[in-house]
Amino acid sequence: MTDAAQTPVPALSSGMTLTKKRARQALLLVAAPTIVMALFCGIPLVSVVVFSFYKPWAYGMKPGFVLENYIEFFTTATYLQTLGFTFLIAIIVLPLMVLLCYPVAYYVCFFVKSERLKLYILLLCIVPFWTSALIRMVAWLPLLGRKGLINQILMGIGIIDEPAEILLYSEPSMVFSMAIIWSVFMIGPIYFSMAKIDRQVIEAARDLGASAWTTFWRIIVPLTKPGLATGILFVFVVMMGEFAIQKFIGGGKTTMLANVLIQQQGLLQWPAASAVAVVMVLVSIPVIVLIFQFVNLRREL
Amino acid sequence: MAEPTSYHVAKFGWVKIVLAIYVVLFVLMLYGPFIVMAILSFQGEDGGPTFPMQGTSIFWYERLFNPSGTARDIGEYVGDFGNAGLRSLVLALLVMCISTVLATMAAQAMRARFLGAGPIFYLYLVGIMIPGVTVGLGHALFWQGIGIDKHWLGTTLPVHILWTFPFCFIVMLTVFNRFDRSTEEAAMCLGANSWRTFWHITLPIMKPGIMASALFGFTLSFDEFARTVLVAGSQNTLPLDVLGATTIRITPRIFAVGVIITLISFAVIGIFGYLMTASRYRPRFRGQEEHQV
Repeated sequence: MTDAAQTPVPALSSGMTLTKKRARQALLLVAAPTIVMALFCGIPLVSVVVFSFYKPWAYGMKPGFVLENYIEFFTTATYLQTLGFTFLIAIIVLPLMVLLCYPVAYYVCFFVKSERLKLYILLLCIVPFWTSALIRMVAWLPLLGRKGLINQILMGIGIIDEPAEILLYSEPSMVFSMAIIWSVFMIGPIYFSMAKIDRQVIEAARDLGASAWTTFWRIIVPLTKPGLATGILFVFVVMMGEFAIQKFIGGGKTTMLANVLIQQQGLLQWPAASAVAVVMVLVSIPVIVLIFQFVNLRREL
Repeated sequence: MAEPTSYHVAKFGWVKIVLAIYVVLFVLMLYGPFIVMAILSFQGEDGGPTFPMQGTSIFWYERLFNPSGTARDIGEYVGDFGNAGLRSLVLALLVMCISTVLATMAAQAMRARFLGAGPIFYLYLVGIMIPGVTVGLGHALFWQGIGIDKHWLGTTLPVHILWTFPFCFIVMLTVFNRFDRSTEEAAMCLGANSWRTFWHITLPIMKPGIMASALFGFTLSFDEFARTVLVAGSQNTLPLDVLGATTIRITPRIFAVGVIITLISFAVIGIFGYLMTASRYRPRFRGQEEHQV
């Protein structure tokens, strides 16, 4: 970023006062969005914390300060299993998505020559992001179901005799559809950090005798680390708040923290739901902090 | 430019071919479900939500616009997709305007260096970091606590802005960070004050970025459900009606809804794509090309 102090404008009195003036204008401009975001972020966080200490009641809650909801959460096996399962799914989905999306970004960045074609392929990958995620989940149903297209094709060509039950309402199909539905969050950041790589660095590696594989592993992968971290960050935070894919494609057998929250609030158990919400935020923080060790998001943009 | 990547092609021609096939399969995986859904939405009257097709008809589209007919007989979700769609449209347009204006202000401010810019940047990102259902629950409990009824516009707008603003802001920031300041400085040297400089120089150059930000604002709000479901109250937005329709018996009608929502999305993307290319900064005079950014 160029700064006024570094490139003084001759016609103006001095670079220093200009910088000060800019800073004052910036503070005025930034006030409105900052107040809005502080309020809209603060409201949900403060209210879930407050209500998580309320006393549960048959139909709702009573004001109070009890640890009951947290004790309930951490002493119930099913809740703890859900917590573990949420992380298990994250540990499976994130590497799977890297494996699925990295080659796409790599192909577009290094093998497609025409800038126009690059743009078209990237747009093809991004367009589904601007359509309804819910509809994309629903659209998987006729493909995956017991009588779905994939089963019909597999039976038609004689690979299997009976419809494969694993295609719908199972963990593998849930994980797979998550990976496809959120792929844009991964392809985008990886591609942008790849496109930033100076081609001369790659050439230098080749001149020094590195094989294509060494170049890939020792040059390209380390230089795309910020993109990978950004992609993982996006997918992780979206995954924590997701409840619909588990229901539609996972069949509701396997639940994650978000499902427990929705379920509790459906039963009007607001203090319990709030406790789950607080747990969700608390367990996300270390992961998010860890990811930020690998990327300075502000500098990447 | 020389061919810096040619070694890939020479030594690893097969890698290129394998990757090309993979990318085609990947794109098919992205769009395959849409295609299957579109075909099944024309399912015959007696057909179900899977193949084989029992003839073709526009029965399920008709049912969509005239739900009072036989919906109850076959245990289908009734829903009010037309009005829900209108509500979503109004909401998305409002969210788009508010978050784009806020994002433009924030990104313009972030170009200057001031105390607190770092924390403010991360505060904006918190909006997408908090899990969706937590946001929804927190806002819902807040409104409940102070005794305000939940509403599809009033109480839903804040959660949508919380979700769309960070994306709009990131889009604006990436555009602003690739922006050459010398054009603005030239205007200021010629005596324009900062407001005139912004209005006549910065804003026209930024137009494609603003369009991209508006596109994110609109589409993310139009399709949002994880945050909306707990704060919308009794009148549904379109994604909530879709969510409702999937909880009871699934019929090809849901695919008809899906096709229409997808077509709306494509139309919106098309409009913004057109506006973006049409609004790209073009020099008015010959010789000015050299100075454009």
